[in-house]
Amino acid sequence: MNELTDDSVLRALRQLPEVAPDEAFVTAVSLRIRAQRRQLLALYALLGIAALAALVLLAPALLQLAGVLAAAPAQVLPLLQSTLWMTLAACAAVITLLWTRRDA
Amino acid sequence: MTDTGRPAAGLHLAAETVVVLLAAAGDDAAFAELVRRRQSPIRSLLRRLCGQAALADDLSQQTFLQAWQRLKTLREPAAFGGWLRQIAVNTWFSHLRQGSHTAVGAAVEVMELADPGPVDPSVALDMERLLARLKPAERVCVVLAHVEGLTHPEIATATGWPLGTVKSHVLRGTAQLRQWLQASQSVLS
Repeated sequence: MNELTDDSVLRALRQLPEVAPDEAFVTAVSLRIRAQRRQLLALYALLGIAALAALVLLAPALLQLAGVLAAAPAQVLPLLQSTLWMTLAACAAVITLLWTRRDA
Repeated sequence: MTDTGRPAAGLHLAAETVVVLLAAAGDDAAFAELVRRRQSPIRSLLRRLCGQAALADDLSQQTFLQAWQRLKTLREPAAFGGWLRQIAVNTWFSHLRQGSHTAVGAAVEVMELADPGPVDPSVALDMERLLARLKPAERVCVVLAHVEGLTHPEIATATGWPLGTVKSHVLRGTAQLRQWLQASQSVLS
């Protein structure tokens, strides 16, 4: 009477109920994907800004090395660098703006 | 995935290989359709593996997130179901590893955990609870073999374990379930 065969165990296993499909689950996955995408974009934006900053810092030295600024007066270098910094700040502002509009 | 609230027109009628190709090309609605179609088997599988509905749903979401990240690496769109199931099993293994802080192959190691003790007759007939009492390595093999209907070589591929190990886990797990069911029936009768 109490002798159970493998078949009865298998039958019981196969009768386990399936989880019903749920649209809320699809939405939850979408939200996680969106968050993941935002993280990736943030990473790319940070890398981009870091690359631009490095360029700004190195640009005067590179131009000097190339001989472009060799003959220029001493006050040109700080002026050039501040212009580049302002360009970088503008880039960061544009990226932030695009970012905000993307989520809206 | 911009519009998740309702299925995109026509996508729900498309063959899965077509939907997979669209999703791999970056179509968010197509990926949402894949989630819609495959959520039930993946959530059921993980619920049987981890025994907790909330945790299973969280792991299922992680599974789909990883599938979204790696979809471009899937060479054969027709194999999407098996590929997704493999990600689900690996997600569960990762969860086990994080929880138990054991090395790679943790699921095999966990198999050596102490026996959970005598079965409570009140829960013995609840197969999901009995499954949860199995050692993780045996549980995953029993579920994949008897619930998902995978062959032993397919389980070996999905888990990355040797075929002999898989066979022994299936046999031992099934025998253990049978023993618990018999014990509970004796107590009840």
